[in-house]
Amino acid sequence: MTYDELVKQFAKKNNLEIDDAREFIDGFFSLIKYSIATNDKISFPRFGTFTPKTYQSKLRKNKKTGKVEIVPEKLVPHFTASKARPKPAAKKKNIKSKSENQSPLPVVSETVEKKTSKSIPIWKYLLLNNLILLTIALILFLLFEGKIKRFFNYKIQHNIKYVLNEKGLTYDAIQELVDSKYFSVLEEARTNTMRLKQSITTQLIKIRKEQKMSLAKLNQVEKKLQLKISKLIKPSLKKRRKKAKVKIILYTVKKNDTLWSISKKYLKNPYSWVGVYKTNGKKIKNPNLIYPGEKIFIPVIKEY
Amino acid sequence: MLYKEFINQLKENLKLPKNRTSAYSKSLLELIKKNVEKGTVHITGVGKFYKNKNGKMHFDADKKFIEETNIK
Repeated sequence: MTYDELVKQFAKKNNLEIDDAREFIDGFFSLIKYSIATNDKISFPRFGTFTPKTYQSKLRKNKKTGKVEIVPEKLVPHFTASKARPKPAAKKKNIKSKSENQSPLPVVSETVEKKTSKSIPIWKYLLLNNLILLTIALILFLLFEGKIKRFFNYKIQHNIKYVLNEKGLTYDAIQELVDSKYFSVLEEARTNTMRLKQSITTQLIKIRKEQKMSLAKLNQVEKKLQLKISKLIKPSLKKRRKKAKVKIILYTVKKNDTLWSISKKYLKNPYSWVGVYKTNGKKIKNPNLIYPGEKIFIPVIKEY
Repeated sequence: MLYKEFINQLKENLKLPKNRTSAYSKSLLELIKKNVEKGTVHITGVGKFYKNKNGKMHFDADKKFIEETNIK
């Protein structure tokens, strides 16, 4: 079917002119194009859905020329038809042959019977039967639950009595004995547990009190220790500061003086000429050359 | 886009009443569906609607359709 045929049929169906029908169909499909171009899917009920699908760019080799080409990214419409609705199931009719219809009495044919038997599978038949039996059994059990229990209890008691009678004992006497012993044991256990509980609670209270006391004591001891430590640390720092006191002396350089000799004289260590050189900074450009009349700072440590 | 939104937009584009647009679009889709069972329905510039061996409807877009959707 072509486009023109479709337009004609559409116009005829809706009593429209051909130009109007063409305009409507064009508009209809142009809107679908627009929605796919904007990456939006459209779904028509009982017809299908148009979904945009993007094919990513890839490299392709041309077989004729052997050149590698780049295929750009593409947006292609993808159509999925909607599932057709199932038609309502037609009723099965037992078609009888003409000969059967002619007979005066209604006779069920063997073929029809076979079909009906095949239609219900065996497992279903069995399951249905079992379900019915199970429900009946449940109802019976619920009705005679008490009676069944009593019957079994009576049987057990009767058996025990028979055994005891054989040994020259009565069932009631033994039961009384057992009951009395059982209760006495229970009472003992209860009293014991009560005592244990009381003792545990008292112990717990004691422990908590002791803990509180110990915590208070610990805090006091900690404070005292901190005070002692602070007293011990502070004077030592002051002493160190006193020790590290430095005095700077201005010294004019005389003839035949060197940094070595000056440091030996004032600092009592010739190797500490580096300290003298560093304190003067830019004043002394070359430590091997100092001139008479030049003024130099000497850092003298008072207490070391 | 839902069918309702599509109909509303089509109504605005073609300046038709809403009941007319929905009726026309329904009849168009039905017409396509009916003719697909007989053979292929080829709408120039849009694509082909056809039925598979298994009886499933398919749509192959035309080159023009793809080009128009890929304009940026």
